[in-house]
Amino acid sequence: MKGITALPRWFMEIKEEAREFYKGAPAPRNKYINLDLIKPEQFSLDAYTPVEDAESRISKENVSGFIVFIDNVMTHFRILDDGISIYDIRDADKNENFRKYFSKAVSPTSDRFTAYHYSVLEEAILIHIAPGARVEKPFHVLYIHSSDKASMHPHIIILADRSSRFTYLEEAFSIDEEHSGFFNPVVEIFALDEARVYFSSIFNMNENVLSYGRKRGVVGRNAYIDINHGWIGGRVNTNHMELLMDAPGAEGEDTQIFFGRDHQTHFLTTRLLHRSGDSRGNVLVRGALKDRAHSIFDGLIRIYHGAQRSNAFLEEHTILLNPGARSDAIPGLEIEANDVRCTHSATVGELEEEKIFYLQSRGVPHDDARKMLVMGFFEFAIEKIPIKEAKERLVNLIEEKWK
Amino acid sequence: MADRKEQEALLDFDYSKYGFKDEDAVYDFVSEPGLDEEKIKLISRLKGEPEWMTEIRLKAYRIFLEKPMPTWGVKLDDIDFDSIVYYARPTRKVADSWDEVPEYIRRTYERLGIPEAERKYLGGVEAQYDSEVVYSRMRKELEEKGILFMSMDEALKRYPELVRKYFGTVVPPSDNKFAALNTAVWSGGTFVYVPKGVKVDIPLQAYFRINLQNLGQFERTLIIAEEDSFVHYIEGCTAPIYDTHTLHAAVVEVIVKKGAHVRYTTIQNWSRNVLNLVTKRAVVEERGFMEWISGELGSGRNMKYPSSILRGRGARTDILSMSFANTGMHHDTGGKVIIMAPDCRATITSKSISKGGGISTYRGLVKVLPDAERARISVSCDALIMDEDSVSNTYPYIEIEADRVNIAHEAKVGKIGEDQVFYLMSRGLTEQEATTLIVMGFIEPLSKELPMEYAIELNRLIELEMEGSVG
Amino acid sequence: MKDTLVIRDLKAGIEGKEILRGINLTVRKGEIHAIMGPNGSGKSTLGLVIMGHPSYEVYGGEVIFNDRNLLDMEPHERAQAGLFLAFQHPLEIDGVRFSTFLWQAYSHRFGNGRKPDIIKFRKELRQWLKNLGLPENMTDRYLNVGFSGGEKKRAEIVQMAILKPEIAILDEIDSGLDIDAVRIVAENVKRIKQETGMGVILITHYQRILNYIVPDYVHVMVDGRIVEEGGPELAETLEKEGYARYGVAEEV
Repeated sequence: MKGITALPRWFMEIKEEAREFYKGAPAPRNKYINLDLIKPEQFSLDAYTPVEDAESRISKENVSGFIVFIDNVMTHFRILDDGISIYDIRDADKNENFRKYFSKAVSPTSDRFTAYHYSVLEEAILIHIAPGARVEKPFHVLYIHSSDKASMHPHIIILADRSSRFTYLEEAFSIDEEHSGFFNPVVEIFALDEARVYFSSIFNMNENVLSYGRKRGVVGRNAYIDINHGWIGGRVNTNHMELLMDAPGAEGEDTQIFFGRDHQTHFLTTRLLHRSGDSRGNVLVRGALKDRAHSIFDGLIRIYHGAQRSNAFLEEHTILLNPGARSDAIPGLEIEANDVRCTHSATVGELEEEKIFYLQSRGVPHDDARKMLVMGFFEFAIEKIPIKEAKERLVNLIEEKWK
Repeated sequence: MADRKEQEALLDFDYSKYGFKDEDAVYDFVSEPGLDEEKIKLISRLKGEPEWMTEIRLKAYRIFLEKPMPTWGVKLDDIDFDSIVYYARPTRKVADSWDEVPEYIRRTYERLGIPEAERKYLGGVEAQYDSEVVYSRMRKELEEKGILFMSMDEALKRYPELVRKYFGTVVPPSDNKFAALNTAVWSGGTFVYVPKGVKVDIPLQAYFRINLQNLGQFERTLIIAEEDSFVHYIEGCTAPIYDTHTLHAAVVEVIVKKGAHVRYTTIQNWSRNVLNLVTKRAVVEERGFMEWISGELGSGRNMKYPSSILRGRGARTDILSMSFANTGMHHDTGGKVIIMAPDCRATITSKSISKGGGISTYRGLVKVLPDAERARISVSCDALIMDEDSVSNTYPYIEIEADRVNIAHEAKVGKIGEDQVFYLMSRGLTEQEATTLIVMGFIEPLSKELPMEYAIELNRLIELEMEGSVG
Repeated sequence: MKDTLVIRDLKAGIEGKEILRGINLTVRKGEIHAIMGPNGSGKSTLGLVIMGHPSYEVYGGEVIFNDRNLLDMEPHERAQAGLFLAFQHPLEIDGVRFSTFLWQAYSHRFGNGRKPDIIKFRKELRQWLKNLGLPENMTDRYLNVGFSGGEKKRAEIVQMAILKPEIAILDEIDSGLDIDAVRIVAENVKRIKQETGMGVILITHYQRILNYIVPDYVHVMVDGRIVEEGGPELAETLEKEGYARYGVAEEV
């Protein structure tokens, strides 16, 4: 589609602004990691290697629609439910929503790599769920990393209109275990009044891929957004997830699991932003690390001044499976209202010997017992994945990584 | 409705008790505001210090000049280092009898109730007035056990080898800008040495008072607890209310040897014009136990993170702190634990109250190094926000590099439960009383760790801070 | 010896502190042995050491089962060899479904490297849940998570029924159960014993459970040693006289 229709002027202006910002902005860093190691220019925006049967992973009778990206190109899409419409950036002028919502949840100047995302953007997709539409089957998106040195920058906007209901699953994976790549997605989710969005994401690109993603869900009046992430792949895997409770009755839920091995790093940031009172937010992150893997969890609950009667909970738990693994956590709170209930907790520990022994006493070998406990630890997130095959794939991935 | 007279009496009692200033104070020496190498040399010469200490001071001063201001925590950019008076000596003599203390100073301490407390329940008392210790005395029976308790200046004269061995080993001047400043201009503070196996069963207290406007107080405390010893050290801090800022930048170093136990209690009630920027740290050897207990009630801007470095197997630490940030106050406090050896245990308990627009921040670090197997750490932060204009922040840093570790961190923020207030009111208490009572219950974990007299004192101060909290 | 658990002069403890100070006990398939004793006598430790709990160290002696030295075996190998321990405090394991877990344990015990018949497994499981008065949806719940105290104890018996051990150690299996539940548990233990011919070691503080499961032998354990042995009548004596005769003050 590239080059067929000109991109809108306002879009080009946003890109330009992002490019300027990118030039001057330093890479995000904290005391545990410096993302200077990500050099976006080293990856190719034009890399593209076709994949045969890319669609075969989609079970078409069980989904409400699907989109397939190969490297940085959208190769397939189909809508299988009347409640859904999809718009490309080139249709933007035909759909006022595009301009209204594009870049409004995730600012082009959020940080260096988000700016890079916007500056190189050629494609952006708006998935609009019609007011009142109840889309029962999940919408399925695949990000397939096919070429070496691929630079991938998908931009998805989910606009769940008033009282609609939408379930979404994305899976990111590599065709070749050796190819390097840079995965740099932005997802913007808007749940308008009374809408309910269930968003799941499984990231399993290979361990030569660097990723930096930014996502924000804006939750409207009495609306609900449920975020669920499984982080398995990547060399350095960075994700910044924000849920903004923007009106009374808004409720956001963010569950994430991560599994790290070898020299993998998972750097996960979560934000519960309560701009409106009478809202609820909940974060639960669990991870397990083996070998020399490293996790950094930066979680924050922020209650804005006046956002009375907000309830927010944040929990993070990491299990270190052997010496050499490392976990850093900063579960923060910034509270500017008093009629609130906010709690957070974080733990780092090992698998409980007593539980291993209990399972062993029933005949389960030691290593299986450990694995069983870790899978049990992850179960709360796995069970939320809306497509059975994807759920099985995730379980298999973790089991494979275990070896 | 509580008896109005009683409440007024309470109010009257407390403000007069701490906020007053001594108009008739006379000083033996007051240095010109501002700081340079000559002034530092002068302070050192006036004190008759050995040359090596003068060198340490000058070196630290250069570090101070190079170190940037911290960019986090409370507002610091308006500190005018040139307007601070770095040294003010009220008298040349450290008295060991209250009769020998200049009258206006004695009056001050009598109003604060120190001589009475000494008679009743303290093992030793040291009183610092502005830059110098003016009174120091310990019970005879403690002296006979070989315990040393005196001002740092005196210790430098009498036990230079001990001071030289430990000074700056726990908090080096390069640690932060204010530790460097303290090292350059330190004056006063307490030196405690407890010999092997000696357990001091009654507390030793130091009392710090700032009187002079624009004075910076830079006391330096060093506590050495030899193997299997125990000591409880208490410090109290007050100052008059001025409309310009006063800087208090102390350094405290504690050395806890094998099997020793040190309990360090602070009741900080500086007036709001005092900026309290202190560095307190302990190193704890095998099976040693370090307790930091603090009630932070005063100081408009307060940064304080008592730290324990557990470097021997089986070492322990408890850090317990309560902070009350009222109108115009910003408290950025917490604790740090660094674990370097196996089988260590640590707990951090933080209780904060924000009221009338006050800001309370907990900032903490727990770091477990790769060899520190089987560490058990629990951190809990509870914050009460009394009204919609107040703020509570929590920034805990958790860094785990060892695998057989269990660390749990928990934080809760909320307001006083309306149901609880209602329940107490239904039994006949006023809303004010009910609220105050619940706040007292909230800080109970701290107050129950204090000697009774201090717990009563703390409760009184809280009652005072709670005045007018119910519209 | 086949079908026999032989414990000889077993000494074990925790962090250098000896708790078992020389235990001798032989249990054949089909026999019921009660181990009684006051709190802190080491009864539970005995069960955990036989099963191979990693916190305990063995200082001496041996435990032989079917001519194999149990002490050289991992806990799961002991289980696969036919040993079963019903825990006094079964652990809650989040995210692991009761049925998933039990199927895996069952496959290890009876699979011989192949998957056993899952239909048969499910049928048996349903039947035993029913026998123990547990709801069928128990199988979809996480292992012991949110189970009441009584449900946990009964679920232990279901696991035992499915895994059909040769020797089962039941540690305070009646604690926290009301009298009806005790009867149900006891009846099912007897039924499993009848079907499998297993040997049973009943660890108990009180005599109550022995009214329902009558032991062939009673061993009294005090301070890490077996100090008296006899038939069921010994349990009755203990019920009347308490452990005071061994110089142990009974706690209230």
